[in-house]
Amino acid sequence: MITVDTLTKNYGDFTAVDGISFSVAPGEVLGLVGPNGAGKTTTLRCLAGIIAPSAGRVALAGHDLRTDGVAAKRALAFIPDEPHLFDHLTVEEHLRFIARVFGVADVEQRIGPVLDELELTDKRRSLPDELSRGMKQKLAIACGLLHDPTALVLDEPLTGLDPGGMRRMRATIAARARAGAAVVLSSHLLTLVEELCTKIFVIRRGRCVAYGSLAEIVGTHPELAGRSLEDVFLALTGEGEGPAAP
Amino acid sequence: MTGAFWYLIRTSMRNRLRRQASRLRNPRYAVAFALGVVYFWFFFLRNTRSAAMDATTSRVMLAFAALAVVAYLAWSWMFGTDRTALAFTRAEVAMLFTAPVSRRGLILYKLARSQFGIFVSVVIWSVILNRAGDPVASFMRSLGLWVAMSTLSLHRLGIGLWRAGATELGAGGARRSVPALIAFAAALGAVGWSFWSHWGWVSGAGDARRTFEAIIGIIDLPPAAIAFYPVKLAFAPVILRDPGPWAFALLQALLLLALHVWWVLSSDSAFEEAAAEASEHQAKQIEKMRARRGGGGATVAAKSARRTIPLPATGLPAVAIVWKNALWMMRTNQLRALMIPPVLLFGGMLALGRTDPKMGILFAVLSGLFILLLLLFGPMSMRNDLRSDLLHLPMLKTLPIPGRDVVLAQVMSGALSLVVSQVLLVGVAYAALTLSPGSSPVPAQVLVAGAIAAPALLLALNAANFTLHNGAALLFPGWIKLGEHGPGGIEATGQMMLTTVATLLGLVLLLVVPAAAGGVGYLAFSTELGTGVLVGLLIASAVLAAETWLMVSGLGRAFETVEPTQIG
Repeated sequence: MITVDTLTKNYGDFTAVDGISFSVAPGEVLGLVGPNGAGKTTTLRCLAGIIAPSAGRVALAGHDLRTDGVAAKRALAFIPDEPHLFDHLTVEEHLRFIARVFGVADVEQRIGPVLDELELTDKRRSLPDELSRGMKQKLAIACGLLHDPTALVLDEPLTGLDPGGMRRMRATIAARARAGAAVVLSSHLLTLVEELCTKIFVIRRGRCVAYGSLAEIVGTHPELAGRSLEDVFLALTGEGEGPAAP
Repeated sequence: MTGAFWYLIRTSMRNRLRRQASRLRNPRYAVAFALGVVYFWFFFLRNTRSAAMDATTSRVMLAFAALAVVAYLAWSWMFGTDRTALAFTRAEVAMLFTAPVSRRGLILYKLARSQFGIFVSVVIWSVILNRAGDPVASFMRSLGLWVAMSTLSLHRLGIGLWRAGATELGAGGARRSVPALIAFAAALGAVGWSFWSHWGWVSGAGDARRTFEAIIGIIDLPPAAIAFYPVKLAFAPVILRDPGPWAFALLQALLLLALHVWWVLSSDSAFEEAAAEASEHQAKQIEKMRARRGGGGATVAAKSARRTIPLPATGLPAVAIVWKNALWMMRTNQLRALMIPPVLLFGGMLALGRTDPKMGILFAVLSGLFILLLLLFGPMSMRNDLRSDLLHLPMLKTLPIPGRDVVLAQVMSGALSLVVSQVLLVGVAYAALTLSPGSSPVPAQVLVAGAIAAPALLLALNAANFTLHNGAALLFPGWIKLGEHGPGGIEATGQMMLTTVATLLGLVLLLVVPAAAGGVGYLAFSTELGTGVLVGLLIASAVLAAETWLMVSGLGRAFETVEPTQIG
């Protein structure tokens, strides 16, 4: 369960996120969409405990991130769009590091299948600078999933992956949700959002523009009935007002 | 293109200064800045009537500066300069390397850009060296410093370019640089010959002062004097104070600088050629690789077969950070390097220290010296802590580890490694004093007490020192260069000097209360000398550890609130 209650984040006079609220139940996938600079990454970083909200509350698996951060983070996996890896740890050592931090006792049984699933077995003794961008992303994903998180926060999870990797990643997200994880993902790939997400949160200039299932959102905007998610997104965010593509 | 480079340098510098200035709106930065200004005023500017440097001191300083620079350059020619010599930023690589800019243009840009760092260093060193309060003398010294630092910076760049060319071209590149190597080998030979032929002066000197004079005398005689001449030429305007000789020396130093500019810019053609030949070589390698793939004979790179350190999956989570940092030290050979001084000194002590009482004392003093050097300067090179990991802040902050434990793990990673080496050195010193045939100058009970208390004391000292370095990075990320490698090169000496002074001052302040408490403990048990020393050292260690713990706890709270936007 991921709960966000009137989350606000200010940078000086600038309000990046302005009092947004949503909740993601186990098994649900929430798609966080919005134009560049809308506040998506700030929201995700607040959810992951990287930055502290100026106001409001975030709870992961029932634990308040502010008052019980360690317990909340035990349930969390945050997979950023830009993987942060340690230069002097090999692929396998990254997994062992994460296992120790999250107390994954059966790490020996998990490492092999995770590396196989992400096609990193041949690279298990490679350092990050020997990996391609996509492989680094896969390693970041493997680190995130190793401890079976119940709250998954993904920022552009398909960035850098090859077509096969994208397909597997989509399947993994769906499988994790079916297994009971609450998932929040941010992506500009609206087809991905449409395919995976049970709910959509449209954010613009830090504020909620629309929230609910696609059917619910269209229900409140009858003029968008029958339109694609892309059209709905552009209409809601005002992004479709520029000149049409040739 | 020069206009574009000038625009880039100018706007980058302006924005950087604006950013630094805007940090002062933060009370934390403002207070630290004010304290720094007060400190510099008190120690360096206030005492404006102190005596000017006499001729003998100038001569000694110049000789030792020349020795240090020659040693540094010899090392650089043999093993290469540090990575910053040829480094460009990621943005520069992405935008300038792909732009229609010649290699010469890129080098010219790098030269111009390094001037900002040199300027800052010149200002800081000028303030530090300005003890005479004479504005004209200060200006002369500053100008001399600028010429010397610029020449050294260019020399580093030249070595970097030469090595890059030699690496890319293999034997061809090396042949191209044969004249430079011959010249350098001749210079080293000249120095070696001078010392060899006049070694009697040093060995018969008797005391330290005469030894120094003997060394300076040898350096001043040909052929060593010829080898040292260019270095002395570069540094003479920093030392000289009489306007006439200074102006002449400055002229010569500027000529040397101009020669360096010519050398570095003319290296450009070799560098371009090297890049072209390297591209061809790379293309051939790719063809070979494709051929191997076709045959299905791909092999696993030997580089991938790495040694590791086992990590149990369960236990304190923060231990994983210590483990990660230990692997870093192992893979950068720092763990091995830390073991070299105790091993060498132990071997030397066994070979020489058991026959001559003076040698025993010498090895004990050398061990103590290394302990002190490791304590003071170890944290500056061992940056496998928050100074590196703050670059991974988003990842670290998602880990379910309290901030205090993160900071403690980072501090202990470096401290424990140093303590192991230092405790071994204590063992060497102890053995040197107790196994040597003569009577030890230190009473036996004090030796035993010191040896028993050493692990606790060294752990507390190193932990405190690393806490200061980590605290500086965490509280003032805008002032501390983050990453595995600290600020490098002659242009960064000013920043290194400031960091060194600030952390040493912090350590001295931290030691006040533990020293007082240890003194009280010693006095309470002073009827028995050994017991008094032991109790005093242990109390001092405990109080210092308590202070460090308080700092770590505070920094843990700071870690929990720091945000990626505050870093860098």
